[in-house]
Amino acid sequence: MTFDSLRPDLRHIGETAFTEVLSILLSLPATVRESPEQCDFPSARDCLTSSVLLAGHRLSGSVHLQLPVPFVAHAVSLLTGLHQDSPEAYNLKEDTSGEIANMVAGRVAAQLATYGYPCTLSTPSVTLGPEIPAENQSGMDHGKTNLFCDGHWLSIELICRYATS
Amino acid sequence: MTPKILSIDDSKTIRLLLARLFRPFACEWQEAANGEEGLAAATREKPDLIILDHNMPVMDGVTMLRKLRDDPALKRTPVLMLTAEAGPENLALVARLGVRDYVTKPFREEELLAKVGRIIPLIPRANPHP
Repeated sequence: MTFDSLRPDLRHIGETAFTEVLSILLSLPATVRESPEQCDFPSARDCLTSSVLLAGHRLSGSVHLQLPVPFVAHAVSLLTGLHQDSPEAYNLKEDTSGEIANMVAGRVAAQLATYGYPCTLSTPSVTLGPEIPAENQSGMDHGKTNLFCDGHWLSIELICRYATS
Repeated sequence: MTPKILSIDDSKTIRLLLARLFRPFACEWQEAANGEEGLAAATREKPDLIILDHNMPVMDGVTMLRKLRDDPALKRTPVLMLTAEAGPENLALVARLGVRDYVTKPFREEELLAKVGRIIPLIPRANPHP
């Protein structure tokens, strides 16, 4: 068996983790779709990008979720009972977005461990806008999935580098 | 006597979710946003149960748990850990730390309530909207 045949399917891992979290945490079903046009995605000011770093002996990487602000506002309301238009709910949008990313990354890490790539998580970081933080991505494996959930387009992207040993 | 529950999590969303989940039950609810604040609250309040997040800034759950176990007055306090890291290595670590139980995030509310109910009595409030 070659090293390459042991590589995790990052697209499948991300898709599974994200749909499970949406179902258990928010009771929201999500379907995987290829977005027909990039303009279906929210504009920069309407999108939160939440990122969690993965670190292990054999793997380093990151998990990035892109969540429209109206989706996150609804999530805050579902989780806390606050009215989604209230100032208090508005102030929780980064926190909720980060927590969703934390849970998704946890499930990603559990799946990577089954492939022989155990890793730990950083605390999440959240930014406004759809851009994933730039990094040297040469030699890295990618997996991205677009989901349609609660009337919104969401996405998850996994970026991983494996140690050669 | 009404049990005291101390919830320690850096996410205000999770703290609100948990407070809402336990509101129908007769318990005294307290919160802290990290392990450092949690230790101070535990020392002051002597809770009957600590619901402790694993991954937090300032002081994480594992560090806080070790300090709790070093304190003779607090070392027997039952701890239920919440963790998003559901891999076998992390869960084995959590088990070795002597927590009473753990729940992985995201959790089903009935699962968390069942596990808490095995540690402290959860009795519905006479008035569910205090």
